Amino acid sequence: MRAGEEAVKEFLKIAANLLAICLVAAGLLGVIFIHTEAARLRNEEARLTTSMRRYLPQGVQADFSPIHRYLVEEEGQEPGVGYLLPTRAGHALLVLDPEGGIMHQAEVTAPLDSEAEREEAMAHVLPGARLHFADTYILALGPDGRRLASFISGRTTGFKTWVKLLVALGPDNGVLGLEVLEHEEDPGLGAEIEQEYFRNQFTGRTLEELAHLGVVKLPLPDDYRRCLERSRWAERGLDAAKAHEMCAGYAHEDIHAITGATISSRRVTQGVKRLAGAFVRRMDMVQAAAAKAGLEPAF
Amino acid sequence: MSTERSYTLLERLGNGLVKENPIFKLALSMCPAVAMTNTVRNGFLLGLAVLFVQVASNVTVSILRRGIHERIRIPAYIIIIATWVSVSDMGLAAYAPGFYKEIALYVKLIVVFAIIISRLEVFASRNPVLPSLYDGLGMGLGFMFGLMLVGCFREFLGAGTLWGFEILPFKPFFFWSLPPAGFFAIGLIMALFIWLERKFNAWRTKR
Repeated sequence: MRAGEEAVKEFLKIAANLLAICLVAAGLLGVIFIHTEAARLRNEEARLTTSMRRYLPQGVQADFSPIHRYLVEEEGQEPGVGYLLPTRAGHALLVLDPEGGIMHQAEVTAPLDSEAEREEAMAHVLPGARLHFADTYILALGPDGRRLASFISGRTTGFKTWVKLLVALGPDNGVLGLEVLEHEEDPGLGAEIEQEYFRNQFTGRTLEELAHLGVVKLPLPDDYRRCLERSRWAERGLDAAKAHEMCAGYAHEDIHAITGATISSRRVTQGVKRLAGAFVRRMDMVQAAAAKAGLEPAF
Repeated sequence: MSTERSYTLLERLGNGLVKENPIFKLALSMCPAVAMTNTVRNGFLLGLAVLFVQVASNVTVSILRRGIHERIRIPAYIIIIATWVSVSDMGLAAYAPGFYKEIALYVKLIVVFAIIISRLEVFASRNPVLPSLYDGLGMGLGFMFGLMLVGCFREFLGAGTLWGFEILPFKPFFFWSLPPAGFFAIGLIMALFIWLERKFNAWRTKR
């Protein structure tokens, strides 16, 4: 009996010891999280804004207007896609079925700055519906309401895990540029997707071109590489016109895969094509539906 | 229990850098040493992250060494390492976003590095705080030194650059940039390292 008691005592001691360590660790992590999370979110937002500004004409006052997309499920109905979009009067919610038919439409006057506020406003319009946030498109609007650029942030699979991309499209839906926001690819190989010589190969592609864009396993010609690396134009004595001239001969070639990282290159290319294609299709649908609904979108 | 020896900072640094170099002598944490050493810069950044976690974990375990039950020391060490890794991950993300963007990938990997837990088990759990701090510094710097040496070798041969600066206008052997080449690079440098050390020791005993 004595030995059994000893064993139980020992067991409890071990459990208490481990529990104490875990509690202290969890407490410490909690405190650090509370103190750092706000700063982390601010940094992320600042990075996104800086990335977006890079693709806007300099000196032009631009207003960033988000369009939030939700999957909307209601009892006894086919699921629809809800768009929370800016209008000339304020905001509107438009729920569309997959063919673009209008399921619901409503003006929204409540503030929509945070996720919680948006969900509350939508729950008010669609009581009882289940909402799943999908993504956000950000439109940069000029002072006259003209669309200067559209920013699509989305993710695609890389070689290892997700790659978070930001695709910038111009008013004509041609590609203004590509930014890689987050990735976990291998340094020196897949991680090269964040380099200018890869990203800038997408710049200037029209929507039509993008649809047929492929990836080739050919070495990147030296002068093409030099004109793609925009941040080093100055040190190479290039200006925009000269670089443009150098790049012109290659501008309609397929994407040159990164040496040793063909899969990463291919996946990112597919991701850009998919994100841009879906954006343009959805915006056409929203604009047609908004016109039918008598709404005046602010873009 | 080891006998009470006096460890000085210098002795511990020499131990980590040469005598028990984590990569070339202990052959621990070879995964990152193979995967992350295709450039000097990668080696340096990973080394920096390991240095911090090694020192912080060594000190923590040394302070708590009498409070941790013998039979759960491994899970306890893992929790301590994971805590420090998460703390540095969150701290860097909030206060050094530019640096974090480059180092984020490495920081998360450190939890599973054999070198860290082995130093906790072999050294920090049996020694007072100050020697454990020195040991963490020595081992962290030794690891960083090893990674950077392998990185120099591979970056120069694979890309013709060092720390991103162009040394050769062409890529001599692209093979050296690929992950499998890490094995060859470490093997060759390890052999050279041990040969040099033996030569040096023989020369010293002769004098």
